[in-house]
Amino acid sequence: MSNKGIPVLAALAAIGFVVTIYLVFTYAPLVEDPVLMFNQKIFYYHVAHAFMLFLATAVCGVCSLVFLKTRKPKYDDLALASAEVAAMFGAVVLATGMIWAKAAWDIWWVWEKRLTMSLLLWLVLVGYVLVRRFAGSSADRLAAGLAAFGTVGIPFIYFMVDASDHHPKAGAGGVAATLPPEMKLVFWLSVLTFLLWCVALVMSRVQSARAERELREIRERGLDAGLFT
Amino acid sequence: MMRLLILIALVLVPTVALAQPAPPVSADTAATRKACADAMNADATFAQAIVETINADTARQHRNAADAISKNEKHVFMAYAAMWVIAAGFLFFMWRRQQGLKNEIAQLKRDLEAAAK
Amino acid sequence: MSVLRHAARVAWKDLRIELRSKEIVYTMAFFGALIVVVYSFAFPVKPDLVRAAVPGMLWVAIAFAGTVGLGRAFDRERENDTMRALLLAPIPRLAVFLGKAAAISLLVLLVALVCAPLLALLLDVDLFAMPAELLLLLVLGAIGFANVGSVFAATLLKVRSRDVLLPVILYPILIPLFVAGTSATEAMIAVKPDLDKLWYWIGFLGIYDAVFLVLSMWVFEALVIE
Repeated sequence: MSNKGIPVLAALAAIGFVVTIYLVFTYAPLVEDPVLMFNQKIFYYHVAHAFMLFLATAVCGVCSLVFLKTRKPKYDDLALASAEVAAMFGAVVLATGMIWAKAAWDIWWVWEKRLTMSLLLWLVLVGYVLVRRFAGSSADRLAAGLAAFGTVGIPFIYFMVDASDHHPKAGAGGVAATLPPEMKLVFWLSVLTFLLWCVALVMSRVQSARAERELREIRERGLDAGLFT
Repeated sequence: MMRLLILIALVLVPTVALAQPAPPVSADTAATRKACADAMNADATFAQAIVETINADTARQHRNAADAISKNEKHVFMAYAAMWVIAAGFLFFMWRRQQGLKNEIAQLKRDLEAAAK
Repeated sequence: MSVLRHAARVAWKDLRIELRSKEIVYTMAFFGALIVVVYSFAFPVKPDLVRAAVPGMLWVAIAFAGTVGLGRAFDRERENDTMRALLLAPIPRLAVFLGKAAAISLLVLLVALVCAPLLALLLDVDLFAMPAELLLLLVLGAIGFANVGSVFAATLLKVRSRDVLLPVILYPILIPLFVAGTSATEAMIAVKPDLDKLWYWIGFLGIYDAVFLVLSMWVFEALVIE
């Protein structure tokens, strides 16, 4: 991955931010829902972030499996970068989801299906970051295992949340499916914006991960050669 | 002494509150109601005026509520702010990492120079 | 088939060590019992409340006691670096994993079989209304727990902070298993047992175990070899 792509992507994302914010508040119509109304505008960022959360997690899981099988460090770097970015997007999903719940149902947390799924997925990602930080020299293998198992577990989480009547259900049922075309346009534009943002973040994080690894190797080589003490 | 006073107050306040007589149930509600119904039945325009007033009032209340909700920008603002704060936090974290890398490179260079001597 | 034979041998080795010292069995079972007793004090014992809370208590007790036992079982392999010897032995590494997982699932099942009657006794819940189904459920739960647990406990063997990292890694992955177990138990002890729900969750657990068993067998070697 080259260095040059990152500023371009980040600039495109920045333009996207401005355009989407403008469109969200001027072009997109208010929903007819008497409770949501203006608050529905949270949706454009919340759902776009949720898409990125799942995308980045999937990338992390696949790269982790490939890393375990091939032991090529570049896949590890990519897995680490996308896991951290996914954790960031997950934090935004949870925060905006809670604010949405407060606006729509006047309560900070509801066990709404998709919010519950995001929470469980986010817990795996936080575990991943913790393992990375505290597992010493076997951190890469352990974290890769966690990511692989966590990604394979996503369908189970989905069916579990779907079938479990443990929590009282509340739902905005199918908001995305029934959008009028103006909203759809703004929504997909914001998804595109955050996709660019997400890719730019992952790429720059990959670079710092690779630099860190190379520095570590250089130091080890120096130690082996007796250059450093 | 102070504690005793507090204790007495704690006991007294609910007692006094509970001892308040319940608000009297209006016995002549039915009579008033009947008088109103009679008046409305007697004069059709009077009845019409009352219904219109009530309808207009309800409509106004609904409009006010809708306006209040559509202008309730608090939550939208909070959500967008949360996104920016978290993104900024992540960028700060990446920047810190970058600084650490720079320090590490400088350290390596110093070590190399020291070793070359 | 030689893989299964070697696996059985590894499992039998672990169980024989355990049978001699009985260290893990006794401490795990006692720990599980303690959790149950603490729960009986932590929640008011009211019939309707207990019916709702007991499934969760059972599975949380299994999770906690299981984690403790898992850590200890692999500590044993660490003390004399016998894990390295096992991995270097001229048998498929798959057999090492399967043997370890089998031995640990037996231990976890044993703890579950201590906790369940104790819960039924102390909290007066008819957990054993369907003994065969309960046993099947506990066996599936123990297999799933031991399977995922062995993979990560083996990988964590050389890590300094393994005691805190084991639950940090394990529980997010195992949440579906615990929810499935809890929901199935709930369906079982309800005033009107919900058989459809019970079998849905047992099937869910079966598929969960199968998928993660295949995944574990696939990545175990890559995970434990440095």
